Amino acid sequence: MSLFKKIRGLFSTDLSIDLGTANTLIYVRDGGILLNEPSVVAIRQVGNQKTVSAVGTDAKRMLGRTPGNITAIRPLKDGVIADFLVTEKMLQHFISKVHENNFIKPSPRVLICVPCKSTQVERRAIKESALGAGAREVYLIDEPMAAAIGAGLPVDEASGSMVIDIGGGTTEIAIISLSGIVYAESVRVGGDRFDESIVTYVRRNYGSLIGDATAERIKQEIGTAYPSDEVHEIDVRGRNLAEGIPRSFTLNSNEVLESLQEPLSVIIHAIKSALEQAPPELASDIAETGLVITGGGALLRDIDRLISEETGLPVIIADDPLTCVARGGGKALEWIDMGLDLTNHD
Amino acid sequence: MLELKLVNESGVSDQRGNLSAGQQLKKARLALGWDVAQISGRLKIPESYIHFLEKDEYTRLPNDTFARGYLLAYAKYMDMPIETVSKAYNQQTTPVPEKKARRFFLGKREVKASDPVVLWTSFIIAIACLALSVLWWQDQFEMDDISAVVSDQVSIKTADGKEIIENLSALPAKKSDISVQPDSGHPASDRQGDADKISTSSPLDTHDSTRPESELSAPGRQSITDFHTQGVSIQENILEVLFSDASWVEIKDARGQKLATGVKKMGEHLLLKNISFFDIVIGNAAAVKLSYNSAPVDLGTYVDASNVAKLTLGY
Repeated sequence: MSLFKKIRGLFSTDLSIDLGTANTLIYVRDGGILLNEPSVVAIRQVGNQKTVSAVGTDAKRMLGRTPGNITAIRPLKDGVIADFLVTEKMLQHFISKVHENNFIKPSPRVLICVPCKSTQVERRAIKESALGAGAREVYLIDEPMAAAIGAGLPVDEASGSMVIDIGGGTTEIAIISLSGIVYAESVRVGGDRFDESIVTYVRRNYGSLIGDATAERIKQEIGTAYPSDEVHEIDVRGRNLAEGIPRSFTLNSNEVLESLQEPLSVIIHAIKSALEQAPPELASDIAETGLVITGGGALLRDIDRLISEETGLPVIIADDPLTCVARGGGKALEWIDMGLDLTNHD
Repeated sequence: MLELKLVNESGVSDQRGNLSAGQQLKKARLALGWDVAQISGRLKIPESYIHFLEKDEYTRLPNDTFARGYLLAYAKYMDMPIETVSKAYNQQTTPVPEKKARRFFLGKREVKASDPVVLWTSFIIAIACLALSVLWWQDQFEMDDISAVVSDQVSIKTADGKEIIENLSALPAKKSDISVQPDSGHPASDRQGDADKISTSSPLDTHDSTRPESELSAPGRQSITDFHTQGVSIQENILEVLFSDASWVEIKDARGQKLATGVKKMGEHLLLKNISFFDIVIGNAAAVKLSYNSAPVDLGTYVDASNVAKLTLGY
């Protein structure tokens, strides 16, 4: 590490970054969650030159509404980097955004949460990307471990804890005991797949095409994971594929539930698989205490009910599930300084 | 993990009459006519835990995360406002600071720029660096002076504006090669009186306390003289030339360096001191009187047919 980076590090704050497919959250030590923005970058192309036009919320507004010379892209796909350079630029932007002092270029210690089943190449790409963005030191931690810490589970105790982190790109399932992951599974199904399923359902049943942003809004407003007597409705506008003109129609929560069956069944199958694989003692602990859900997927209505009914175990939703991973990463950073390193050293 | 300290162990309503979280849940359950087994069957939470929740005995539950989670799941099932139950629960429990719970960890502490220790240390280091820089600069300045004197040529001015150039840097390093006998016969008063004629100075100058300070034409000269003559006894060798008519002269030292050259007018007087060796060529030698260490030198023995005297003096 260069001496210059060390000096700059004195003027930087430790960061825990949940580099998610949908959103990037940055937890600042002693400062809480300071940034929660969509992982979207808008690239403007002039001739052969490409420049970053907007990052985060501004860029997300451009998704699907860009002219020819601007491309709004999501540099992460399925929890891992799909576009290395754009991710680096995005991280650079976010890191400088959480540092108020712009006089000295920040060079913080950064802890990044990565999917537990990501490959060495994918982890390396994330690490290099953060170093390229100016980080002084980069630690990687498995997302379910960070989620468990953030949720407040007793990860360092000799008892099994099961956490399900339903993110934008992936769903991470892990059984944790004594500060280590006993079993982990990662399925590439998450909020994005829910959106895609809604888009597909609307196209198939209504003959209309809706965008990802509209599908996300439908999911957030009336999406449900378990049948309920209470039916919610929403007006949706999309382009009718037969007529080629915009049409309006009404979707209800049961239809959305139907559309989400396929991705939800993948998640349920992965949870059941994890429970089957759990050592008996840990399975006993989990049966007594239950499962904890974190991530944006935990906000889907009655997802806890669905998992509970399917597994027969108590299911609880973590406090502030969206920020669990980032907060857990922040705690892990503090623990590193205290002598307990839970990060990944592959 | 967070540990909980039960504030309201009894679980009864507080002084303001507000119900605790457990009491609210129990009241709601009884209002619906449900029993604990029903709740347990629906939420898959063990019945014992439901009882602990209703009695506000949260410390008997696995930990805070689960206690809160069960409580909120129960409240949601009872269709109660989650915020109210959550608020009541927060009032009943006080989280123990995490650092106390984890103080058995020993490890390094990340130091930040805002830390007063870092600030003061940086300030002291900055002051020390500044002081060192000033000292170094002063040293460099003095060294520059010395090197300037050492490398520069020393000009030797005559009373009538003539100059004799002595290149100090080209001097031989070994002073001990020069064996000079003290000239006891040379009065100090003579030397003092030389200032109004020709004053010379070279690195071979001895540190003569009788010499007037006005002869030191360059700063630091004294120190240079000291440096060059340290531990060496050197005698002044004085060459005095008096021109009774116009003449031409060229005087070189041992290295061939010209000490004096050019046409001299009638009445001019040339005095060269502290040079160990003189190679002298004098035109119109008959009109020139020369003395070396106050002893007259007869130029007649060195004059050739063209009235030019060539001679060497010293060693």
